[in-house]
Amino acid sequence: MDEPEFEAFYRATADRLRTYLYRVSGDRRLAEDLAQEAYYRFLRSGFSGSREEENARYLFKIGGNLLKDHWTDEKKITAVSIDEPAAGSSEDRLDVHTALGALKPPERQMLWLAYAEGYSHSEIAGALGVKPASVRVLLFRAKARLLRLLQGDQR
Amino acid sequence: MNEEDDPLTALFREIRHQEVWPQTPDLPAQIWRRARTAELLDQEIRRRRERQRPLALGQRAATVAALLAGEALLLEAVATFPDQTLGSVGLTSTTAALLALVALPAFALAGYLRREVAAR
Repeated sequence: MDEPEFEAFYRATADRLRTYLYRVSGDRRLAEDLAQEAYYRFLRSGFSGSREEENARYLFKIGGNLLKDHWTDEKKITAVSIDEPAAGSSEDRLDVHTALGALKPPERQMLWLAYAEGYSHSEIAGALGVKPASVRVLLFRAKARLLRLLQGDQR
Repeated sequence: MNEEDDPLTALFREIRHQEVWPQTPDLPAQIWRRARTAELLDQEIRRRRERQRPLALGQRAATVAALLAGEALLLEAVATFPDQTLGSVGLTSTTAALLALVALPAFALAGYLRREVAAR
């Protein structure tokens, strides 16, 4: 990948990656820092997929690993509150926002990859380093928990 | 994903699209330069290691040759001792030869380890 290709790839994926890292970590600044590091490591890896989406999946995997390293270093793998959204929001969105913040980071990670990024179970398994069979169960539990939280908010 | 997931997918994608991030136009170029600099540095380190490899190999060969020469000298010295002399200190000629063989590498290793510890 040469510099112009990288710039185009960055522009196409940066917001997606930062949003993913932010929605999982609950920390905007951390998301920005980890995103930069993820792009740096992506370049250093020399990975070059045949399609842009393939590169994006690899980038997201690096981002996920960086989050894992961060949690290991900081021993911070607990439910964290997410700051108020930067953009204008509807009532629904605020409910989801609060409910997401109450989930554990790995649950948020799994839900985000599945529903925001449209990953298949095997792709989630690859990105998170878990067995594909476990993804089905973990995702089901995370989704059930999110729905319970959403129902609680609506009451 | 199945049909009942559709509202959830729509909700998550809405959040994803509404998120606003500050745009830093020169950030990709900075990341590119940082990665390129690290790559060039790695290449230079590899080149230096390649250049130093014959020297390191030569040093290793010289060390082995010196050790072998030292061993030969020690063995020869042990061989000149009369059996009675060795017997008086409780050694057979075979034991004395084995001790002589082990002594030199042991000293060399001890010296190497001392230098390594001192370097840290």
